[in-house]
Amino acid sequence: MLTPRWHPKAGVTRMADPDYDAVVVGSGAGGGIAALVLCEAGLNVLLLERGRRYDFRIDYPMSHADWERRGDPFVEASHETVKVESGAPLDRGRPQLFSGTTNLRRLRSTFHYRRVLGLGGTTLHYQGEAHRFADYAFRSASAYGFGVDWPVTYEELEPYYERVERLLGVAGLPGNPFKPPRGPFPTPAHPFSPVSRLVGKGAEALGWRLQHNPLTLPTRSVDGRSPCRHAGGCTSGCIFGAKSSMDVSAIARAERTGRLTIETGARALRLETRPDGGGVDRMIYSRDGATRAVTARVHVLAAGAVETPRLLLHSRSGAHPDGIGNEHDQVGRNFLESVTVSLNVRFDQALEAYRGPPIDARIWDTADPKQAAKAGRGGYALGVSSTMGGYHGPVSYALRTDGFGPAHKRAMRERFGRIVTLFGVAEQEPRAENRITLSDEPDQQGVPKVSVRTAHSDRDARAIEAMFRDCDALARASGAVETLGRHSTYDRSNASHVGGGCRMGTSP
Amino acid sequence: MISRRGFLSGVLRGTSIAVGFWLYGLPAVAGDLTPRERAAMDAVLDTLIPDDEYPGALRAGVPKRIEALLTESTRRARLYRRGLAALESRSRRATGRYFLELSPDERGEVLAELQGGFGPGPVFFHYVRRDAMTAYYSTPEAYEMLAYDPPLNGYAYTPVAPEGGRDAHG
Repeated sequence: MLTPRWHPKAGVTRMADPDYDAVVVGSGAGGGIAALVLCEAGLNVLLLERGRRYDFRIDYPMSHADWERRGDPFVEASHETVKVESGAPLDRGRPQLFSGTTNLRRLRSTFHYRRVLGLGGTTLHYQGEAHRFADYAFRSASAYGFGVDWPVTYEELEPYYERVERLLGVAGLPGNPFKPPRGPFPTPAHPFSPVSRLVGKGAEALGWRLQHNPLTLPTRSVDGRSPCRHAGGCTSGCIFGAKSSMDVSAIARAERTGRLTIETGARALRLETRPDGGGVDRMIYSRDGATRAVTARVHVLAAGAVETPRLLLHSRSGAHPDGIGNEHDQVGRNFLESVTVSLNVRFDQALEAYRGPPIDARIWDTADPKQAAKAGRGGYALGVSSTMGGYHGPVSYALRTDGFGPAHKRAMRERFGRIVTLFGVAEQEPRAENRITLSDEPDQQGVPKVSVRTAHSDRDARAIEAMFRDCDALARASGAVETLGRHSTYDRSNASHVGGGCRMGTSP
Repeated sequence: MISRRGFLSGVLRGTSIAVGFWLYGLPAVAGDLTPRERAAMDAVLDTLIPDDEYPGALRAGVPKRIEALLTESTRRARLYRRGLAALESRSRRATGRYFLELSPDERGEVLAELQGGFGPGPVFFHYVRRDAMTAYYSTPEAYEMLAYDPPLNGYAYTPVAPEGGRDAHG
């Protein structure tokens, strides 16, 4: 048992006088908003963030002329805290699901995801897509036999969607027939980029329609910040502070209430419950090499789909032998990663693909739940990205173009700004066996590493097959002259989006 | 006060550095290339990114950037030296002449052979190609060739010409 004798509140009857009204773990999309809501309600809040705080004016690569040589400052490899499990077996009889064309491996590559550490969490890295779930998505099991019904409805969530969209200055255009009807967006939609206009024509030829993507990249100033300047490179941090990442939006606003305390470089280790088996007593965390404890009336865990389950599972005690909130063996289960395919394609006309929001449009026709159910899979959305394939500025093009000499230079003139990624993203089917557990292997701080077991189901595989087919068709219809690479998460794990792990109960 | 262990390790380190200089030759400044190496290096850069309608590596000032890189990293400098030596011996074996004396096409062939060979050659090729491309494609000359505006100030969209064709920047 840990006794932080140096703590100012140590020895004091704790619940009578907690250090804070609320402690929030994680400062991303969940924790940042939670901190703001609690502060605005008059509570004193401590926000714990494992990474550091970034200054958008100087810390991000694109502020520098040699930006292409600088990596993302806040993306950290995950193997430090994740124990890599061997990949799931693959069906070699279905080569149409595989990345590349001759790649016939037996095992799926091991779980691979990139974690963002920093005040603002993954919103530092996101490209600002701000989708509302469709109304049917909340009852997809009862209506279409896919996934699980939610214990809340779209109608209940709608006012909160509106509130957060206003806060983040979401830019968009109403009228997407595949989403519930809605009012105007807080800021007008971005004009389609040259890439989207071209691919939009291809989509039309296939009977689809490109829809403006709702983006947390405001087209007008919000809270005195710069509007989006179309510089691209959103994933390495917005150098104008225009992208509504949590640090410059919700957290900045929460700080102005005077009730928010932020501790960066702080890693939550576990929760301790009261000895009588009652509620959560205090949060144990480490900072500057020391272990600390903090008490609060409310504890909000918003550390992401990998770390939040780990915190709960690691908070074992006599009263909670399997971890906190795990009486029904649900913590860590139904972990969701991304089910995606992507195609790097080249066009033979100038597109200046490096300009603008990287993903300003999506195709939702393919998300139709009735059609998807008939095909025995979930729906998916298609899109086009200017940077997903790693082709961004001149250096990345040059290094990814083979050869040297006059031919290479000619190829650069023919290719630069013309390579984009067509992609599809499906929702993974939630399955209990896709789960997060604690491994026997401790990390550097003695906390058990997380073990992630995840594989695609048959329905996921069918979605991948359909997305490849649609992306190929879209490439042809849009006039792409060359496909440079194919990628599928069927054989190559690439979890840029993770979810699940802590399913919402019907009775809180 | 110097401890016995500190003194001994200091002596050992000094000795190993001295042995290193004896083996590899004493560099005036770490990373400096000899005139002959520099001439060969320029020829390599000119082969990787030659002049055409647009300036190549030499006219865009890539050699200076590469030398700066080698001054920063003695390890990289050593790799380059060994690579240039491998290049010369391959050139002599294949043609009986120094790399400098070859025609552009012959230089290209020797470089391609170096890339596909074994020993320090392929490693050198990998790094020199990467370094040269990275340096060249960050120069104003390359930006002009590609009609590229770096993103430091953001962009305003320009209307796209109806059928292909590059737009004016604005």
